[in-house]
Amino acid sequence: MGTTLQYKVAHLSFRISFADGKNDKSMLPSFPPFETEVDDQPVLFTLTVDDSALPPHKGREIGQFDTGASNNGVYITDDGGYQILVSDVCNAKCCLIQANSDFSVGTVALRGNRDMRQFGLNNAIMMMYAFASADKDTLLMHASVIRHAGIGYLFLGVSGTGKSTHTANWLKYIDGTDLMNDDNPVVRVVDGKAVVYGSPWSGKTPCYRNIEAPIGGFVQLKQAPYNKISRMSVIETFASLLPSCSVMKWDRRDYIGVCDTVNRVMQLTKTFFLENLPDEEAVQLSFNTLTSGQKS
Amino acid sequence: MNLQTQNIKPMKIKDGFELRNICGENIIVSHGIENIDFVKVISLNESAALVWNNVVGKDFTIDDMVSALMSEYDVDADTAKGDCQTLIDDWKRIGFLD
Repeated sequence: MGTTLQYKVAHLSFRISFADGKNDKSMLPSFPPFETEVDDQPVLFTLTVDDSALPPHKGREIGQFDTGASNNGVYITDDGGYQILVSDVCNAKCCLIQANSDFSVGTVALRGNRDMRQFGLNNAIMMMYAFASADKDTLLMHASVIRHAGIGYLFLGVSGTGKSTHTANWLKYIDGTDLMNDDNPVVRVVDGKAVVYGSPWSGKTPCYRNIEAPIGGFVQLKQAPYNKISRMSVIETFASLLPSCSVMKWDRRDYIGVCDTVNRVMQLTKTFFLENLPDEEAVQLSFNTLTSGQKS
Repeated sequence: MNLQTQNIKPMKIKDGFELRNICGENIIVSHGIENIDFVKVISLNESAALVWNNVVGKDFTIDDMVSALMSEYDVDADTAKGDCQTLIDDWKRIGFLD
C-alpha cells in the first residue's frame, strides 16, 4: 500500500508517491516546511519511488556529469525519455531515475544503505524539479542567499569561492540579516518581478526555509588580496548567471527555457563582481553597493 | 581540393548554435550533445547578427553573406566581401561552421 505526499516549492507543486514500505517521508528531512495537502490539481511533476522499477535498457549515453557531490550518468531512451544513474561520492550507484522527456513524470529506484538512498532520493527530486520547471520562468540556482530589509541578495561562484563565508559575514556584521538558503535557491520571474525562494536543498548548511523575497541583486564572488566591487556588463552577467543554473545543455527545451529566464531576470536585476577578502570590509562594500542600488 | 571548389563549397552553421537577444546583446548560445564542451559566451555586433540571421539553418556561400550585408548597409561589394571573409574566419575558429 503506497503513500502520496505533496510539496510546494516556489509556488510550484509536485507529488511524491512511495510505492512500497521500504522508503518513506522520513528520508526527506528537509521537506516538512514545504509539505501541503494532497489535491487533484495539476502539478509540476509526479515522482514514484519504487525500488523494483528496473529499466529495460539504458538507451543512448549523453555523458557522465560530476557535480562535486555526485556523478550522474545520463541516457536518452528510444522514446525520448531520460534515465539518470546517480552515484554518490564513494562512486556507489544509489539511484536510478527514469523520466519522460519534459520530466513531468518520473520513477526512481533506490539502492544501498539508508544514507545512500536518502542522498539518491533528494538528488532525484532536485533534478526533477529543475528540469521540469526550466520552461516555466524558473531557475534552480547555485547560490548563497541573504535577506535584508525584506530583499534577497544572491551570491554566486563555483564551490570554494567563499559564498558561504561571505554570507556568514553578512550575518555577523549587518543587523537585520538572515540566511534564506546556502546552496540551491529557486529564482522565478513572477508578475514582472524577479523573486528568490528558499528550497529543501541547501548544501551542507541546514537552511530549508519556505520563504520568498524580491531580488535586490546578484554578486559574483572571487577571492582576491583586496576588496573591490564593480558592475558587470550584460555579457559578463550572462556568463556568470547561466553556469550558476541547473541546466541540461543537450536538451533544447530545458536550455533555451533557462537562457530566456536568465535574460528576463537580467532585465529586472543588477549584477556585481566582488573581488574580496573574507573580512568585514568586503561585507560593508557589498552591503553598501547593493542597498544603495535599492534606494535609487 | 583546388581553390575553386573550396570557394564554392557551401558552409553551414552547426546545429545547436542559436542567436538570442539577451538584454540588447546578440549572444550565441549553444545546446545539443555535440556542443556539451562549448562553454564560451560569444556576442555578435549588429551587422554580424544580420548576416547570421540570413544564413542560419541552411547551406550558404560568402556571396549570400555579402548580399545580406549590402541589403542593409551602405557598403561596396569589395569591402563587404572582405568583412564577410573575416567573419567566416572568426566563425570557423570559434567552431560555428561545419
